[in-house]
Amino acid sequence: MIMSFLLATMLNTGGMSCLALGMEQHYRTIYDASPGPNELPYWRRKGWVLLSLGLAVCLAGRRFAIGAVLWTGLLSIALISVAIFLAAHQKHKATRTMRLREADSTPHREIRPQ
Amino acid sequence: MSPYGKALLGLHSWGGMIFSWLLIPIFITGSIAVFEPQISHWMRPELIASHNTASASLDIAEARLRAVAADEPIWRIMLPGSRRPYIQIAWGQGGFRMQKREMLHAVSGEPMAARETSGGKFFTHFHADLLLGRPGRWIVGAAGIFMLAAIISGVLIHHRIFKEFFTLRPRSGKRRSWLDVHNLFGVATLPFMLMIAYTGVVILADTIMPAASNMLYEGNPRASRAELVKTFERKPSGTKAEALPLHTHLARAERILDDDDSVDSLLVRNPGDRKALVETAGNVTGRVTSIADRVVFDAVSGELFGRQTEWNPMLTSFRTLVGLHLAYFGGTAIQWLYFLSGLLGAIMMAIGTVLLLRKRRQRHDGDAMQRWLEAMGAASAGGTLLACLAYLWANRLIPAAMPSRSSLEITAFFSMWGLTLLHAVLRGRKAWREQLMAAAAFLILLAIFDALGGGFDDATRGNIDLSLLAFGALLMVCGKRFFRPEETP
Repeated sequence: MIMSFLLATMLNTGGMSCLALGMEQHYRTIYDASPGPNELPYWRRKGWVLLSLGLAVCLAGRRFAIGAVLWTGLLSIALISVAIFLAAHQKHKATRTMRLREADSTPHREIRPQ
Repeated sequence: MSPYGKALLGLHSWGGMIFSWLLIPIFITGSIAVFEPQISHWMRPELIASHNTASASLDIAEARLRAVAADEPIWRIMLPGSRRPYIQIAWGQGGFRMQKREMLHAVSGEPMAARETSGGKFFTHFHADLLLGRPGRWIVGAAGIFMLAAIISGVLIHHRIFKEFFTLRPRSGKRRSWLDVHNLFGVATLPFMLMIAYTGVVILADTIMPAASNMLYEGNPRASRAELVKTFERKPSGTKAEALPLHTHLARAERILDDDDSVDSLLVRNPGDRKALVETAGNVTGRVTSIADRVVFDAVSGELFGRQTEWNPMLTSFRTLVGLHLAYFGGTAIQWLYFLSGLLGAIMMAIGTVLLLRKRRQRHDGDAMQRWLEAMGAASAGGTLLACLAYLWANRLIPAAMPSRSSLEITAFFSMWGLTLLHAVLRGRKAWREQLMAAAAFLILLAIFDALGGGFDDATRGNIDLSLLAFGALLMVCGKRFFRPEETP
């Protein structure tokens, strides 16, 4: 039962991550590039496949109603986890860019031999 | 904005804030109430959980009942399970509340003495009727109906939520960030919120709309139950007869009950008589529908006397909605998901209040009305947390043998709640941060205090201590990160 729960958690979180990649603004956050013509639908399809697999794992070995409640609950937690990850990633990227810019602007021109 | 949109916004923001003063405490206590059995166990550290098999537990219970209640008309035996880790017996005339009750030690079979407390039941009762009985159910029912309206108006107002799925922008202005969290938690818990508000109102349907009971059963809501739930009784013969040991009925009952259900409790009518009956009731933890199937045997011959495993479809659908609300099914995973969803819902509502008050502050900063609104907001969220913690602390600090200590614990809850409101009125919006940080400190200290008092000798108690510690740490991080003194919400 614990393995099935962990597997369902992973599938649902993976599915939600793919759905996020299927949205242009979040795709840019992760890849720093515009998505190709078929990329967004590709990620969305993949997301739905993973979520369906998650549902199948939740339903297997449980009563239908209990499996469905479990899947819905895991969906909520997955959605929030992915959103927090995206926000943290964006913040991490922003601080990194700032550091790079600082490193770029000052020292090495003086160090370079004439 | 169209006049229609304005009306919706007014309903959602003002209505939401006023009802959130009730709904946030109801959500916090409801989330805690999901763990009612575990909390009741934590609050009575004298009780030792049983790890016996059902059959061995039943032998212990039967021996004790033969010794103390041989001539009583009714015996009840509740076997240890996930929602009650002890052997419990009751005997005497009348309903369960009227009967004498004991909890038995799993090895010695002796009754265990425990401190007097309402335990986790307090949270359930507060959640269901604010401890006000019928008027309380009316108030909670009204809040539930309003909540359905607030959910629907919320989806219409924040219509960008589906375009901005997964979006959190912590750095783009305070209002924007708070709104993002409000929307994100709202969307994520939307199925849960709709389900819990709807099923909650359905549970109270007979209180809010008693027309059906009044017309059909002369105002007695229990009469409809009597029509649908069979009673298995027969007159005692007056002659004594040696009954079979109770555990002989277990295996047969479990063959008749559903696959996922084991026997949860037994009821013996006229024990010792030739016409005694043994009624076994199944567990409800394996199914959403909260109805216990029952199988009844002749206590002397062991023959099947009757059974009820098929139920009226209306009753089944009603009890399915009730079961969805109570979350007795699905074990620890479902308990945690309900607990987290409920807390996320409470946070979503509290942030809604913060959003409205921040906007209102621009024009009304410093006036008395603003001060009271802010105070009510802070006391409904951080204040409720502190009140719940006061209840748990009182359980540990009031001596175990003190008379009427159970009502003192509840007094601690309400006194602390009153104090937090007073504090919030005096301190203004700084109260948000101070109360959350105080709650975090109380959580962490409670975990340490209980661990030093032997909390880790018992698995359930140890798990609760770890959870208290984890939530205290999380609350402290959130309080530090999101409620800095210079930029209070």
